[in-house]
Amino acid sequence: MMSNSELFSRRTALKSISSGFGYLAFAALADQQARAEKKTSAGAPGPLAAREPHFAARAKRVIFLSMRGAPSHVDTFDYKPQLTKDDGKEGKFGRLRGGRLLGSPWEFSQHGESGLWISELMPEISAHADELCLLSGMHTDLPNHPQAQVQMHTGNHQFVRPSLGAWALYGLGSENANLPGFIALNPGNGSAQHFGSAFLPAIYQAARFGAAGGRRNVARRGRGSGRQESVPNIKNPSLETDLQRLQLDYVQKLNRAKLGRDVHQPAVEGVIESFELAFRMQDEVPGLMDLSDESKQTLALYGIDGSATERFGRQCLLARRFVEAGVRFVELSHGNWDHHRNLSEDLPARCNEIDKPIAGLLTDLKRRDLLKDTLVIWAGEFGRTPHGQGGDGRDHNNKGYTTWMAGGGVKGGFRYGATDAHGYEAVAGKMHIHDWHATILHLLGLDHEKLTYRHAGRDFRLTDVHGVVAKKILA
Amino acid sequence: MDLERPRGSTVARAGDTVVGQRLSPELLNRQVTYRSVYLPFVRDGLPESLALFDAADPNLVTGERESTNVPGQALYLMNNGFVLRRGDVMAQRLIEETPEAEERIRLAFKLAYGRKASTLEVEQGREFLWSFTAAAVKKGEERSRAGYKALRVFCQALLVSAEFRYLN
Repeated sequence: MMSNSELFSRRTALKSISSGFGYLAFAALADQQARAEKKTSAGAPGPLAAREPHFAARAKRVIFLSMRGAPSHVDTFDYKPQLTKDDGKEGKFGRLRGGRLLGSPWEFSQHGESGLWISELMPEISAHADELCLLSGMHTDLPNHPQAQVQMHTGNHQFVRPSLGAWALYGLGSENANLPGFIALNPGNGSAQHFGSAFLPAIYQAARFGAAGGRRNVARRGRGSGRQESVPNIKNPSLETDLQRLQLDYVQKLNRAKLGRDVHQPAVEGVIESFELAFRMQDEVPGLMDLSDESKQTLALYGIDGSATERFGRQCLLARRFVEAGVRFVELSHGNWDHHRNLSEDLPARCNEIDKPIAGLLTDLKRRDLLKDTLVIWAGEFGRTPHGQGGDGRDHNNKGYTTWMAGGGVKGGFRYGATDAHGYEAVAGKMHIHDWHATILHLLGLDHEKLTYRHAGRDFRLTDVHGVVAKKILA
Repeated sequence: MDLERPRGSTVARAGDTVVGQRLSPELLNRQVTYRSVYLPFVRDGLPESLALFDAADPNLVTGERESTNVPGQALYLMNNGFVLRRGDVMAQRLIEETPEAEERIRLAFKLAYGRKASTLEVEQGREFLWSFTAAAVKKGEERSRAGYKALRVFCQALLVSAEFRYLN
């Protein structure tokens, strides 16, 4: 190992100085571990270190509630009295020739001081009307689920691009060294691209917690233990923590010996760091995912009571716990919104499953003073047609739909944009997915034109060459 | 880092390689010990272990592989049943080959790193086996079981260490 010390060139010096950084990083980690006892959220080292945004941020973190399958906007958040009047008349658009307009079977009423019109299907969320910023001029490129879902997450339905959450983490880093900065809870099957980092370094991809596809997980969910959420490999089945620490100390001894032997070996530094982060995650994650320290009132607030609201309620409560612990971006998902038929029964059932949990989340964030800098986003991948399909259903509609945001520096009790009289097409305050992404990054203090990553010879952005920030929705 | 090379080597070092079987992604998710040459992919169904270890996204044209160290990988190496089993099989092989603790350590280094263990490494290995066994016994584990556990955990440690995972 010392054989080339006589030939200590400038290059060798630089290399060994840089491998010395491995020791520095390790010392910093050990120091952080000592401080972790105080449960402070020390910033992570390296690529996850918390970074200053481009300008003052309104939101520090995001909870994205993804509604897979595309909820009907004209039955929930986009009130269309003209559609009710014209019920049964021949529709102007749509794949089905002569599809008849279908007025919403549900009542709408005004809520809060702002008087936002919301349907009776969302009674609990309606109570938070003055926090909601309804975006009723949304539109996207394609009326197909897979493409629209990928576009909603990455901005692009043709090519593999980094997820919105990965960009946010790349831009801002993480506030907690013991947890991943981007977490996807209960992601659906085949949704890897929604949460991927594509060409961004893989450290920015989402850690997928819970029933992430696979038959095994479905079976586990079916057992009905009520504990659906899990993190892969978070616990060693046969070693207690202190014995595993002995093993890990030995592994790190081997690793550091290699680091000392090699003149230049940056990968080994990464190995040392990632083992320590993993060990800390083992300690922190199970506790965070264990809801037993929450009060009965809190569980009830989220609808965690064994009823239809339990499943999404648990996710919402976990989301609050994660953001509270310093996670930058949390995505929850809820499926089966694709109501081509049986709208009259299935839509109320789906709304019921999410209404109380989401309202509980908003209440809880507010009382903990987290809503002011936590951006909550609710969105499906597109909307549904004003004309009916088979009498009791609605078809896909990418031309106009509604999503909403709350907290995190958006105007509450506010509706931005509108569709035409029947709810078919966005006509005012139009917001394409690119504009939506630009606005979300803006709320996080990031300029979507400056947040770039060089790949394949050019700089890439989440918004490609598009995107206009909707300044009117900023509080 | 990528998984295929360490996976193949892990299986081979532990000594339970099976040759001549078509490997499907389903098989890879199960606990099989085939060394893989080609692997059929379902585009959206990348096995989780591969996705974790920077396998090229089948939807992308990837000129050069990413090589990352994310904690999910470390969790996999520390706790996944597949990796634990490899440590187990390797420990059994050491026991079959020699009854002498020091010889087992030397053989383990030879199998894992393809080189002789230094005097210091043998000493540290002995020290680890001794202190781990003592700690396990203190927790109420029976002595011979604790000794085997120490050897198994020692083998796993070599298999997940940087020297095993990275080419120089």
